[in-house]
Amino acid sequence: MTPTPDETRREMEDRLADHALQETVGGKTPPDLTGPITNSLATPATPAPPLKESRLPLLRYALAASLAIGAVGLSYYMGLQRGSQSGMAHNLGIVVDQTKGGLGPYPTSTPPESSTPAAQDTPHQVFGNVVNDPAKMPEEVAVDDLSVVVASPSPLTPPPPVIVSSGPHPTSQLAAPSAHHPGKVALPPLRLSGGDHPGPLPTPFYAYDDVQHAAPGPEFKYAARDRKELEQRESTIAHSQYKLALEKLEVEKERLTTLHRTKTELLAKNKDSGKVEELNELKKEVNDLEVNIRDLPVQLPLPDQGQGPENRGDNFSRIVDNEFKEVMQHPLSTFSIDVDTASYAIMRRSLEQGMLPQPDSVRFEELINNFAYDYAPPTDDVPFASHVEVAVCPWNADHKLVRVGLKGKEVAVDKRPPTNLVFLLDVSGSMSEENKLPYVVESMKLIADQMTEQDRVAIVVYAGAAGLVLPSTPGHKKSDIIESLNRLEAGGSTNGGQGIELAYSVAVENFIKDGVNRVILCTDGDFNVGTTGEGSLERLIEEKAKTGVFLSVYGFGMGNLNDAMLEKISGKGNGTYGYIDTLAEAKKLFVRGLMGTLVTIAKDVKIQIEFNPHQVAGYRLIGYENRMLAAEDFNDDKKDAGEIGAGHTVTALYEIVPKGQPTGSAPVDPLKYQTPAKLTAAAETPELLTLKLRYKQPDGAASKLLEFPVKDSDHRFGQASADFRFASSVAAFGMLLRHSSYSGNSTYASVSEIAQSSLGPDPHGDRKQFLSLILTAQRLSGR
Amino acid sequence: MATVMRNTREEQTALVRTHQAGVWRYLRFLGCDESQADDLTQETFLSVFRQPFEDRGSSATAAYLRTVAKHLFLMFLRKAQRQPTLAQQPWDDLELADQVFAQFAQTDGGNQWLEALSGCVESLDGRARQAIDLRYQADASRSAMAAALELTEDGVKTLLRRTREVLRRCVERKLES
Repeated sequence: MTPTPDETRREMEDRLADHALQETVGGKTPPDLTGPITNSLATPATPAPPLKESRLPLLRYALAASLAIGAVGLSYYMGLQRGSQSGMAHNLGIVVDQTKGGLGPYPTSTPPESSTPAAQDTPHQVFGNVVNDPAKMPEEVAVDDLSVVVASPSPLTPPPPVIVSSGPHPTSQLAAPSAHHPGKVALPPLRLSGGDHPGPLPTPFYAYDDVQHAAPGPEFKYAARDRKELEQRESTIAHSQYKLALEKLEVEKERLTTLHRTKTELLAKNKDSGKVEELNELKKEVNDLEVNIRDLPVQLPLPDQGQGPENRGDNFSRIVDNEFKEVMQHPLSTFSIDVDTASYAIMRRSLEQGMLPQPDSVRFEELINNFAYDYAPPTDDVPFASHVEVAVCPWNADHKLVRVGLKGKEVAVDKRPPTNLVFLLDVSGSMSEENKLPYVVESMKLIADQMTEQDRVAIVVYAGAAGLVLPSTPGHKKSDIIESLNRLEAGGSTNGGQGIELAYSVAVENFIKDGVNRVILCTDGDFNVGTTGEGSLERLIEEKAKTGVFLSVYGFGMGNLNDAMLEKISGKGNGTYGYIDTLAEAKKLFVRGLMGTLVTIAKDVKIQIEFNPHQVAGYRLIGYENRMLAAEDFNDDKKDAGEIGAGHTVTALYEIVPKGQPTGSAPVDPLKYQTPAKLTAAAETPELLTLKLRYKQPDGAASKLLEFPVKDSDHRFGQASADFRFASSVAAFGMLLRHSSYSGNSTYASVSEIAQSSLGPDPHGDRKQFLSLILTAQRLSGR
Repeated sequence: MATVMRNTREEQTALVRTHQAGVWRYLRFLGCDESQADDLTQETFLSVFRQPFEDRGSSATAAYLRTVAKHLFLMFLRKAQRQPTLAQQPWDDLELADQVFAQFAQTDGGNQWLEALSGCVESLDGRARQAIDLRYQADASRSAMAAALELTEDGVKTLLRRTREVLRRCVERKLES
């Protein structure tokens, strides 16, 4: 039954009271966004100068796709028409419909040229590239990025005319309302200037170009910032071009497939007609179409994969999937734990920008460990509890999945040990982008806000040289810390090595015994002066880690993120690696997860599993490829491994092949000088495996061993816990993104179904967000 | 009415400081979760500052900012239609929602209302106070509250709703006086 207006009003008032109580009693107050907003204003959200011809190489994505399409003999014209229409819909949504939901307090000043009463009742207002009524927008515009939506300009001044920039047309031209669509503006076809590139110009170029006419000009302090701003603009355009090229490719795939189906049906219908010549012609066409479909590019190069020395792109280490191992040949599997989550945030950033992530950026363990799982914490003196679960593998019903879950001991906020922090902040030119230094500053403020009198905070920055911006200061002097952060500006080259030296020396000078001593490095990893080699930086960090100061590394920005380097140095510095793409992610790491981020409860945590060959024929560890250890490293206390923070959960999944099933590994010839080891009596027990864990206390040197035998519970997948099912869906999603040959019968649809059915309480909406990412990936992959 | 151009960085910062809480609360009221409200509040101001802005006074500016925020939220919802888990649906009658919120927000984004509410909560006692503390301070689930208050879950829901109604009337009385 539809509620009456009075009931609706009461409902609304109740919601307001509910929110007001959340603020007043629950402390969920509105955040102070002054910093992020004003910092964003410092670097323009929209690119300023018009694109020059010399920067056009970045249009190669669109051109590459067009050439590919042309090469297979397709109708480029049709593709352009479609692309053009789509682009126009994206680009030219320039009507502001001032209806009920319109800009209330500020009346429109320019009614449309229309004589119909309906049009007079619905005044339209034309601004720069603005769509201000989504209810009236075409679908294509509605799914566009919010960043291209700008509000009305000065509400009391008449709106400026739409300026259309286009090559052969005058560069400034007032667009008149179309006769067919009052209020809409008819625009000439857009073209690249210079006439070298016929065809419509892809949408975002003009979307931004139009906006910038009215945008306030940037105030650059450093030339490097100017250069970086241009690079950022190019990167934005490159991503937009990529999306457009991908869209065109999809259109062509669809068109060719439909044509092939139609012709095949026609051939089948007329096969007995006796028209030999026509049938042969039709057969040839069908064959040609099959060839054309086969030859379509499977994937276009991603903009972030780099385009030569001038535009290096994000740097990821290559990942090769762990293979199935025969238990008789390799009974032990040994690896270091990893609580990093950067890969998840990087994957999310890519998908939200409309691109599938680079396969090498997808580290399964970081995707899985991005989520908190409801594992019980330890009840005794050990720093963590282990939880093993076994059920049928969702992507291969002949296999089983073993989940090893660790839960670190919780430490109450008021029991947090005194903390000595050194913020080591990269303020080089490459950090001047709006998603880098401003986010760094806001993220550090989140940490500073939680420091107390017992804590200390120092700030070291580095660009061409390193400097101490704030000496070690008691945590309750928040205004000193915040003021120092607010003063930071980016510019110059990047001498990361010098910064690391200074930060560690400040941390050591102020070392708090039995406390938390940690350097927090925020950078894009673009080290280009001083110690720059990956090996030498690793050695430098390894040396500094011996001081007892831990390191946390946070990556920012895109386009030149050195993920490979950051992941490595965080590991060497007894620390964790996160990636911050939004303030929400910063809050997750530094507010929700502060205790886990700061307080290490065990270090050098290693896992070794011995499989029982009587039960298991083969196994494969999912992820942790760059954390694998040799079997003998397990008992070697000199070998470094991962750290676990307070309250952290760590999850590892093994796909196992039960005894009697083929493992798919290539056979090995029998040994000439040895006989295979014989099974012990323990192999006859129903034990599936033995889990062994080694760890050290945060300040200890000798490791302790924990050991747990595990039996198969014979659970079907549906009988597994929600956490088990959800973690398996995340693993399968990662495998799809990485085009893993081990993804079995997983599809985005099946991943979504499993994740949807295992959301659990999800208090922060992290799992729901994952669902939306699956849908995005499915759409982008066309599967 | 005299108008003020708000185009220098200091003026923009002052405008953000004055109105950000009101915009954020409005977005939450429309159905955003906290992080969506964070993002859209920023987007609202950035959108407004992309072009010269005239300040016609606190009330009109607050209403204008809310209108921009509403458009951005509707855009966000359109985008989220393909990802239905992203956002709650807003109120069907947005005009009424605007009226109700404007009454709450007045010229200061709702600060006075919240201040009055604080006093009203202090004057609560008994089970009503316990329910408010459990729900909003301890973030207790409804089943946990039911166990603590010896009520059914529906009873908890009703008690909370009635208490909020009592508080709302108390706030209105305070503001009128």
